[in-house]
Amino acid sequence: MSIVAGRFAGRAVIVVGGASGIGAATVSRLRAEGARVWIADRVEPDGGDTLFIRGDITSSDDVDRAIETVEATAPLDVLVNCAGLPAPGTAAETDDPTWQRLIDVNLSGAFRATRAALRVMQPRRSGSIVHVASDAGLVGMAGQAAYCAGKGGLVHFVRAAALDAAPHGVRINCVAPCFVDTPMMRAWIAGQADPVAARADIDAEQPIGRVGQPEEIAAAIAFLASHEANFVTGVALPVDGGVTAR
Amino acid sequence: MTIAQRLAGRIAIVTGAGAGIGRAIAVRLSQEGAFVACCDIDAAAAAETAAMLPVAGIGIACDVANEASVAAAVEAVADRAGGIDLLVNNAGIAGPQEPALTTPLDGWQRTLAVNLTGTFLMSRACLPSLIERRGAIVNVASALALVGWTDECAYGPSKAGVVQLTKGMAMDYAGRIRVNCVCPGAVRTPMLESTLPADADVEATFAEYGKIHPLHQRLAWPEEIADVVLFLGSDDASLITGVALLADAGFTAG
Repeated sequence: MSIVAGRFAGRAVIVVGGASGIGAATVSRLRAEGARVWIADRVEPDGGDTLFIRGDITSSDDVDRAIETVEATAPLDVLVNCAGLPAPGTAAETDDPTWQRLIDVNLSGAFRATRAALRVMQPRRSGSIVHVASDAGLVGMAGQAAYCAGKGGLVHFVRAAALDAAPHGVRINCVAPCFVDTPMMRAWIAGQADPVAARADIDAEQPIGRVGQPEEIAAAIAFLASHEANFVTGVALPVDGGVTAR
Repeated sequence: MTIAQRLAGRIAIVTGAGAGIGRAIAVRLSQEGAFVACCDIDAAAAAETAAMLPVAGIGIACDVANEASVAAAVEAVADRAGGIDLLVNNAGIAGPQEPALTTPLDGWQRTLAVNLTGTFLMSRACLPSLIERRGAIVNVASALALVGWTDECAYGPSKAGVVQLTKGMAMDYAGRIRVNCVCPGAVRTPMLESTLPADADVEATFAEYGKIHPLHQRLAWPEEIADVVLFLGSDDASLITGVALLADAGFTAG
């Protein structure tokens, strides 16, 4: 990684789902580049954080209040949305509550966060929004029916929302990571019949022979959020070690 | 203030560096500390770009469509700098602005030769050094690689080929080097200007062209594409390979 000193100097950022995993790595990265970063999440990060906002992305009120909290101090420049949960299962075996919960968090949550951010960004004709989608949003994956649907929906929401926001000067993009070494991935592996073999299988399935690290996703998020991506909007950037190139 | 140096000590080759996007890329990489070899079929233009670099670089005459010229250029860089960490295949021509029925064979062949074969030849020549140094390739394709457009019978396919060559090389060398491409929308360059009729009102035409971009409603500046190339060529893209990254202000999102 190469920290770009001052790239986000003076910028106000909110990272939804910023308490752990990719979100936490993004918070660290943007703070290192000079941003003032609020963390919105259901649980406070380990060790606490002075800019923590407790909230649930399935609540429009919570999401709106989180944006208002930032705006009370500084005009919001960047929204990063990392909130997401897994829901393994085929279409045949996925029950209604599992499906609805997945869509409510991974897809509707992204919509709620985007809407709240656009309300303050568009009048200022400035701002950048980055969502964390998945390579499962670009290609089908066995046993991930709800997850693929949610992330695929997110990728397409980003394209549509980017077109709508373009005349208002706001950029909207997403990254599409492969397996990343996060608490979410570790929990999934721990639930497998043979966790050691499952981890080895995952590494072997990656074209580059390894899964991603949260910092590598954060680096791509930082790029898309920054002025260096001024001509980039409506894209899903695979950050996946080549998984979706084949 | 600390100046970011994302490519300090790296050795880069930029083809088509004599003008437009290539010149902006060369300057941007140099600003980040890279030694940049500026290759161009126009030796004077290559030297002119080299003279603009904040970190010392070199200008080299090179026709990317010519195997011997490519070999000589890459050898000259290796001799001078010791190896290659980053290859930016940017050299390209607009080709005939015609539909299939009226595209002359020589125009078709020259477009494929420069845009696609040139990318292949430069990559092949640089691969041994890139693999040894775990480097990266960034190709400059086009949004027109992904969507159909009128009167781009040769250009569109040549850039689509670049995207697919990018993905193929990414698979062939996965875990050793990274290979990606950027797909710009319409960029304000001498190449784009060369496609206009001699009597065209350049500013009015470019203003009209710019409307294809939902965001900004103008042509891209070469520097805006150079920023994307810098990202893909830097360690910040360590997990990114085989990707065609659009920089088209939403042109193909709709």
